[in-house]
Amino acid sequence: MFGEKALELIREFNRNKDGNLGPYNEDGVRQVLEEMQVLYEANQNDVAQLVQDTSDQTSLTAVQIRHDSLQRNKRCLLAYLYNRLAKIRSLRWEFGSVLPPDIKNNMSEKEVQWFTRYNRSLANYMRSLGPGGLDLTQDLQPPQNVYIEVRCVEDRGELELNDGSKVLLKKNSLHYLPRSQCEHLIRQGVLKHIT
Amino acid sequence: MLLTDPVKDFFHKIVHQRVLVMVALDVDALCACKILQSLFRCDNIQYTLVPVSKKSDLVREYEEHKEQNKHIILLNCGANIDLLNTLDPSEDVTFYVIDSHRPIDLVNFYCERQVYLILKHNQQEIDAIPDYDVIYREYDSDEEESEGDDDTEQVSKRRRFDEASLMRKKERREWEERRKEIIFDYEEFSYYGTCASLIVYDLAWRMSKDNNELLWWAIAGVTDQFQNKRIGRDRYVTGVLELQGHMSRLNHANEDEDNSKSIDCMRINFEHDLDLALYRHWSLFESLCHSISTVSAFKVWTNIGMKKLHQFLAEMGIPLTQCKQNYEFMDTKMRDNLQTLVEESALKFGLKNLKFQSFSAQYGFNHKICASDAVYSVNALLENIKLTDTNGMTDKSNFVDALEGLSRISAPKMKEGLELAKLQLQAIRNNVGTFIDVGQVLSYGPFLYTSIKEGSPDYKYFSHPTHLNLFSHYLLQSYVRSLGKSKREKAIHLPLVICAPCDIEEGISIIAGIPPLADDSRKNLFGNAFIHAAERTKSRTSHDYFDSSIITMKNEDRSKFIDALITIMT
Repeated sequence: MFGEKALELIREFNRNKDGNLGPYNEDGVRQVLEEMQVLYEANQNDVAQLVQDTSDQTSLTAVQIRHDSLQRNKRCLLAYLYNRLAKIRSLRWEFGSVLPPDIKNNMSEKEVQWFTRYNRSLANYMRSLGPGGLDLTQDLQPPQNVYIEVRCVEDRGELELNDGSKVLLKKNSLHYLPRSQCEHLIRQGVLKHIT
Repeated sequence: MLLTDPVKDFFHKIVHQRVLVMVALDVDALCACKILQSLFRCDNIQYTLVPVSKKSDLVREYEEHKEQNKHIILLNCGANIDLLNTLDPSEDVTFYVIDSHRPIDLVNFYCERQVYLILKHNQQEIDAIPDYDVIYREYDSDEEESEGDDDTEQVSKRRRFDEASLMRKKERREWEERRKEIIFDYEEFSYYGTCASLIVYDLAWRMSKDNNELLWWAIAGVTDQFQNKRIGRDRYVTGVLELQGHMSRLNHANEDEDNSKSIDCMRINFEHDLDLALYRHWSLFESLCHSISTVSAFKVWTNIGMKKLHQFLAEMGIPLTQCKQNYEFMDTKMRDNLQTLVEESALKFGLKNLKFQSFSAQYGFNHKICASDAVYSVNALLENIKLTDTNGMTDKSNFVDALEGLSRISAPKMKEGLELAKLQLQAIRNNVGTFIDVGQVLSYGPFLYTSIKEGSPDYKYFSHPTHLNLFSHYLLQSYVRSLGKSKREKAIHLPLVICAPCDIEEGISIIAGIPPLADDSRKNLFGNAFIHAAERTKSRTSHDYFDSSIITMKNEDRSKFIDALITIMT
């Protein structure tokens, strides 16, 4: 049936909606496009015939159905791409400007391009805010405390804080640090937040 | 220098500063650290916590962190070593020492700045420290100089001063001898003072920042000292009474029914509890087989002893099926009456001190834990042999685990620790039995001696100082009980030296000495004796633990070291 493959793409995306970004299904997209190409060509032929011979209306329904299938395929493809982009955008807010390699491998070339462009415009925007810029990606929820307790998971050498003081990050030492300074380290897995 | 007002001189000084907290690896220090952490959280003081298990650790961690931190707090370490000499700190570094190890190093006590001691103002403890004048004399250095000058001056001139200088020299010699004697007397015994967690709790109380949670940690600290026999019963009771005062003060508001707290809040109860290890989390039978007082009283390693234990249970009227059951599943009626039952039959069997004042904490309906069980659990987490690699070095994750176990009484780590503690107690019990059966405890005249062989199945447990210490107390008490009456009288006044393999590949063993059973002050004379014996025989020892009565040494030097120890102590 027409549109089956496009639906499969949507299903696939929906399946790991809550998980990480799934791999870009290049094969699936290509197959849908091919299907659309076939449908389009068949429609072209029939329509040409209809225009020539207005008395024979038999193929009109077929054209109608093919047209709807085309529309539906298009919609599904767009939904697939758009939702992936939305996901990538939210990843940018979660992980910062550098994505972990396993996520990056799941993105198509065009998506990577879009990601870098998005990064750039976001950075430009953040720089334009106030004097010296403002990092919007931090503190998405209002923090309960300015400082948090963290445990160091690996040896990382010295960390210099904003106020100029330094902290030595050694494996299995515990620290009480400003949240803003160590949030990215927690994301990278160097520190662990103790609750 | 002694701080008179810890709130003003200590806490207010470190607000808005970065501090480094160095924590020794024992339960008391961890509790103190927990209390400090919550105080720091109130005032947004940034801190770094570093565990240190030995003196060499202390030096290494200090070297690594000295660039970043100028305020250093030492918990249960450092008071009995000369900090200025060992760490050689630059002028802007300040140490705050909260330590229960005694005697306090005199340089730490009398130096004017950099090292600050925070103590409980206990007159007895302060009196024990020799006066400044006795130890240091102002003119000391002057004389040295003038003596140097004397040599260059003319001979005739010198003769005139002879009389006076001779007098002075004589006086000085006498003074020096007296000084040596006083210092020797002062340093002869090592013992434990007020526990660190109680001191820190006191600080919190002075700032009105204490609550039930902090109190629980202070309780655990005091219980730890008692449980590992670092303090006698008298001192424990004093500590407990003080804590009880705090407890009733904190909880009096919700005694009436109108504003009672929700069950989900932590609640601390004071109670007279049975001194049985982990019995709430084990079966009654097992717990009787593994607690120090019952093990030694029944001699459970013998057949007769086992019979006696069964008699004891029969006397109480608890069926075997019930007491071999997990405590939680015992009959409610039995459980409620257990304390009176045990107490009544204990009298008949001559069991003394089976009850002691203690605290328990409850959280919700099912998490009830008593202080001594919590201490067993955290101790087990600290000396978890699964985390120890072959060199006897741990990657410090035991420290993090133990802190996690302490953080909440309902923490899953606490449960894990209880299981580990059971394993350790089983190891202790098995070894106590075999040691006495085989007659491995030998009397060497001034002290008893025993050693754990490398091949023995549980030797790994005993390479950790706290656990070795606990084992030796079990062993000593059981050994003394196993002797005949005349021998017992003698053995009760003998200390015990125990030796266990520490690092088999390097051929290093760990040696610990504990004071005799009859001595309730828990003063330990082995610290100095070990040093002297090592000096005499030039043994390759390392006095690296904060507790001076525990040392490590090369296996080859052991026999001559012990020989020297015998001569010193006779």
